[in-house]
Amino acid sequence: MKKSLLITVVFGCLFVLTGLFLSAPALATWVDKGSVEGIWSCWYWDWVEEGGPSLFDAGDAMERFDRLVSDDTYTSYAQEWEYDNHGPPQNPASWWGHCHAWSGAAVWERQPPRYKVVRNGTTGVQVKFRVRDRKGLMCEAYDEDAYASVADFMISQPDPGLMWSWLRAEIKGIYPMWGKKRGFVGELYYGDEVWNYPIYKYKVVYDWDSDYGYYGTMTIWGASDGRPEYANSTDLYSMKLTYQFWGVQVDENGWPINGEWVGTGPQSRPDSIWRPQYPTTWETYLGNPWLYNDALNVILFNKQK
Amino acid sequence: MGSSKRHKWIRHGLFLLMISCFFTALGEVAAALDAPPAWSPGQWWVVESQTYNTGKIRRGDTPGWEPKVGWRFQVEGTEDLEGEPYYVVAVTSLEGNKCAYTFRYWFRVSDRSVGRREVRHPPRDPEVQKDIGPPVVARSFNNNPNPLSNFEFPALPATIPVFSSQAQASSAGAHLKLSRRTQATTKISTEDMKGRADSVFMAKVGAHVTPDSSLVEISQGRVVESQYWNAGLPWCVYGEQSDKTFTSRRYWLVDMGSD
Repeated sequence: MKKSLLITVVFGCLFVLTGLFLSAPALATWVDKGSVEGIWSCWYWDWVEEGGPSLFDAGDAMERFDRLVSDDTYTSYAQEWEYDNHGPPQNPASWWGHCHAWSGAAVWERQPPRYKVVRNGTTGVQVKFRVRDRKGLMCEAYDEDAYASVADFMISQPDPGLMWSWLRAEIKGIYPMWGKKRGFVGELYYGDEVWNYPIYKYKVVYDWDSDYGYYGTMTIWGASDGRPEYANSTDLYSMKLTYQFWGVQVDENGWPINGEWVGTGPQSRPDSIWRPQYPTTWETYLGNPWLYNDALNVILFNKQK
Repeated sequence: MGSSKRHKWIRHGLFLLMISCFFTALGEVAAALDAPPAWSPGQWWVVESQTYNTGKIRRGDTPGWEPKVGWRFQVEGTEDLEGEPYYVVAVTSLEGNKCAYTFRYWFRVSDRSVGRREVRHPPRDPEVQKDIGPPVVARSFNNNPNPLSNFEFPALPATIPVFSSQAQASSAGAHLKLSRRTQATTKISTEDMKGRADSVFMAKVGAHVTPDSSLVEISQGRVVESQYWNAGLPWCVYGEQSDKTFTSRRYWLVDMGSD
C-alpha cells in the first residue's frame, strides 16, 4: 500500500514537472489587457441605394423625424437632405457610410435602451422611434466629429508602441485623459477604404528579445457595424483583429514606444486611432441641417416613465 | 593589487566617469538653450492653428488643411508647484473654435517646462451621455511630458521648448536630450523668422522684434515640432508638427497685448 502511494507520488511529480517543462515557452510570455464597458454596436448606414438600410430610406430615422416635426406651417426635409448629401447622388462607393459617426457616438453616448414614442404637442402626431432610429439619429448628430480640430487625439498610422500606449492609457485606464477609462476609435483598414470601429478591449501577448525588443501579438476588439440587424439590437456584437509586432521599446516611464508591424495587408495594422471631443449639444457635429437640438433632446432622452 | 584595493579604484573610476558625464551634459544644455520669453501676469497672446485632414477618417473627404481655429493664451499669475514658481496660463478657444474645453498650463518660470495641465469641460445630461468624469481633470507632467501628450488635443499648440534660465547664446544645431525628448536650436536671421510669421502681426508688433531669432526643433518619438522664436515675443511666431509622413498641424502667433 505504502509502495503504491510512493509510486503514485513520484509519477505525479514527474507528470507535473514534465508539464511545466513543456509549457515553459508559454510561461515566458507576458500578457497585458484591458477593457471598458458601454460601447455599443450599430449598422453603418450606407449611402448606396442597393445596399443595406440607409438613413434616407422610407420608414427609417430621417423620415420619422420629418413626420414628427412637420406641421401646417413647417415642413422638414431631413430625409430628402440625407438622400441628396449622404446618398446615391454623391456617387458613393459601397463602403461609404456613417461608421466614423457611430464610432464617436458609441464612445461618448449611452446606447438607446428601448424604443420611444414621441408626440408633437402642436399637431398631436405620435411617432415611434425604434432603437435603430434613435441610434441612426445619434449617428447623424455625430457626422462632423472626425476632424483633428475637434479631437481628443487623432493619430495617423500609429506604430505598435504608440498604439499599445494608448490602449493602456485609455482602455486599461492607467493614464486616461478624462480621469477614467474610456474607449476610442480605430480606423482599422490599412489602405484606401475607411472602416472605423469603437475599440473597447485589447490583449497584448508579448515577450522580449535582445535583438527584437518587445514582440508579440496585439488583439483588439471593437463593436461591430457589420449587419443591419445590429442597429435595432442592444446586444454587443464585436469584431476582433490580431496584429503582430516587434521592436517595441519602453521609455523611462514604462510607456511602450516605437516598433514595427508585421505585414502590409489591410488588416495588418491600425490605419488611425482617434476620439472626438464630446459634443455639448446634438448640433455640435450635426451633419443633416434639418435635425435640431430641441427635437433630438426629446427623442434621444432615455428616461421613460 | 588586493581585491579591496581593486574595488576602491573601480569605485573611484565610476565616480569620475559620472562626474565627467554630468559636466558634458551640462555643457550641452547651456549651449543648446535660449533665455525664456518675458511673461507677466495679465499678458495675453492669440495663436491660430490649423490641422491637416488626411482624408482617411471620414469617407469621401479630400485631404487638406482644415479651417484655422483661434486660441487665447493669458498669463493669470504665478503659483508654486513643489517649491518652484510656475506661470499659470489659461488657454481658451475663440469664436469659431468648437473646442468646448478650457485649459490651464503651469509653465516653470525658470525654463518654461510644463509641470501641470488642467482641462475644464462642461457637463452634459447624464441621462443621455455616459459619465464624463470630474469636471476638472489635472495632469502632472513633472516637467517630463510622456509620449502621449504630443498627441492630445491636436489643434491646441501648447508645446514649448525648454529654455535656459541663464540667457546664454545657443550654438547652431546643438542637441539637448530630455529623456526621450530631444531639442535642437539653430540661430536664424530675422528675415527667415519673418518669412514664416503672420505678416499682419509682424507689421503690428515690429517694435517688439529683436535681432535674436531661433528655429527650435523638439523631437519626441516620431513627432517633430519645429518652432520659429523671436526673443522679443511671448510665443513662437510660427510652428508646425510633423511626423515621418506628413505635417499634421501648423500655427501662427497673430496678436498679443496686456490687460
